[in-house]
Amino acid sequence: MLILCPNCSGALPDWLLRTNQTKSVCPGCYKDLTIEVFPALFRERTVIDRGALALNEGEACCYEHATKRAVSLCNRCGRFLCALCEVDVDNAVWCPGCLQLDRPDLGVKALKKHRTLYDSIALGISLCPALLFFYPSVITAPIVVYLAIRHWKTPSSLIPRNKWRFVVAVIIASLELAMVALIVISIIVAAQKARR
Amino acid sequence: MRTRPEFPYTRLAGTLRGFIGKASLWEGTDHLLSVTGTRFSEDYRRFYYRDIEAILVQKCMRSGSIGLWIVCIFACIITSSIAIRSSNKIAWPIACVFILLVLYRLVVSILYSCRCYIQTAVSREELPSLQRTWTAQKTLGRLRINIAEAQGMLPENIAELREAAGAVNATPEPVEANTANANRQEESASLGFNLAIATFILLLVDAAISLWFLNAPSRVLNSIWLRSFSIGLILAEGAAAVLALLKLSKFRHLRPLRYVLFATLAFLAVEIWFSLYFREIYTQITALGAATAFDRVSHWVQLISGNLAILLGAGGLLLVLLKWQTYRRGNLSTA
Repeated sequence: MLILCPNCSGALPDWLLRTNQTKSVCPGCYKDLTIEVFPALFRERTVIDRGALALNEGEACCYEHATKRAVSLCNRCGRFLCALCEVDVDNAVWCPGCLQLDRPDLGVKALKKHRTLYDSIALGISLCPALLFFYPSVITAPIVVYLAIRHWKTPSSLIPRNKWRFVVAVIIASLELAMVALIVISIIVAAQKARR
Repeated sequence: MRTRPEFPYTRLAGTLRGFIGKASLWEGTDHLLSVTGTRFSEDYRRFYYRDIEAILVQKCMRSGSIGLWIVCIFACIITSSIAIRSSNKIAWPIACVFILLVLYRLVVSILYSCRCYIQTAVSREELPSLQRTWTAQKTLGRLRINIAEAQGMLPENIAELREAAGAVNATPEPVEANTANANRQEESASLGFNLAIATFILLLVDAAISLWFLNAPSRVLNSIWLRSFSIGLILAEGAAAVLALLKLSKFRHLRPLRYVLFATLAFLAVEIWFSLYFREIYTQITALGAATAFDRVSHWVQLISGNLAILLGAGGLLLVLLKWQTYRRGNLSTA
């Protein structure tokens, strides 16, 4: 039950937290603060009983801790877990190993910490030639088309987002490719005319 | 609350949109999602309502989006220069709109900006999307409902809960013995504020007199009545400033106000030196036959002095008003 001042990191005294919303000044750095506390601050911390961890003869031990008694199984890999190792994820018990977030086989949305926005990347790349010169489009347009096809179904942001960026990027890339083709054709035609 | 099944989040007030970076807050069924990142990637932080222990809003100065500042100032300069150079009647209103926009952003950045933090049992994280106080209040209003649903309501008096949980940071409550001391401090602060207000009002009067006699010849300025009145006014200002400084010296929270009072004293010292030696300088220069040139110099000195006095007086009054709010809330500390 300790609230620290975000400015000076000093512990805010108890008498500042009389009601659930307090406008106050930090006694350490004199910054204006509004502090709002919730019942979780006063909740008793769960303490794991040492007796529950002790391993008796003939009992299964934890996969990670050979001296601790297993109390559950990991719902993904089936390893024995002690009270220290079991983690509650989406109403299931997981082991710390299965919680490695970058494993692609774990499709748990609640664990995702990072997403790459390929649609924004594609749109950015497709707009590059328009902002710089037209010539990069020879390289960028195929990249945009590749990104759109490759990542069309890749999960994008966790927050509401549709695919208009991919569509716009593909349209721009197609126009750029058409323009490149037109230029190439006109150069060939001009060269043939010159030869005649 | 309307959400699409594949996106179980609703946007909350407050979005930070920089040139590259961005941040936003989303309300989920059992957690708050803080999204930060760039234009090409996103990072997520989840705060489960059942785990949130406290929310802290710290008032501070924040500029907001730098890009918007650049656009506003650039537009302000362009439209103002067009308005000055051309006789177009529409140019000035447009320029005024941009100038007002810049001033609005300035006031909001200084007075109505904050940093918002969420504390859980294991961490304290900033919510970067909440930069303005009204946005923070609006978002906290929504969060309060969700947290109350997840954790229940907190009783009005939380002292019993605190005792039950065992106060780790047991800081002694203000005791009765300190009441007399607190009253003395309150009186001291009140008197100090009044003296500071008097100083700044006198300074503004001084500025008004300086600007009133701006084009007066040195002969008028050199009259004994005006000089006596001017010196008397300066001495009164100085005395009020010194007393205000003495009364407010204990309050560390009022340091900016003390700096302005010190600046006022320095300004008054220069002014009194000029008033005392004005007659002597005037006599010497008149003897040299350069009275007209001296009038011009005197005009500029008065102009600068008047403007400086207005700046100090108005700035000081503004500061007093700002600190007065803190004082009225009883949040001044002498520690």
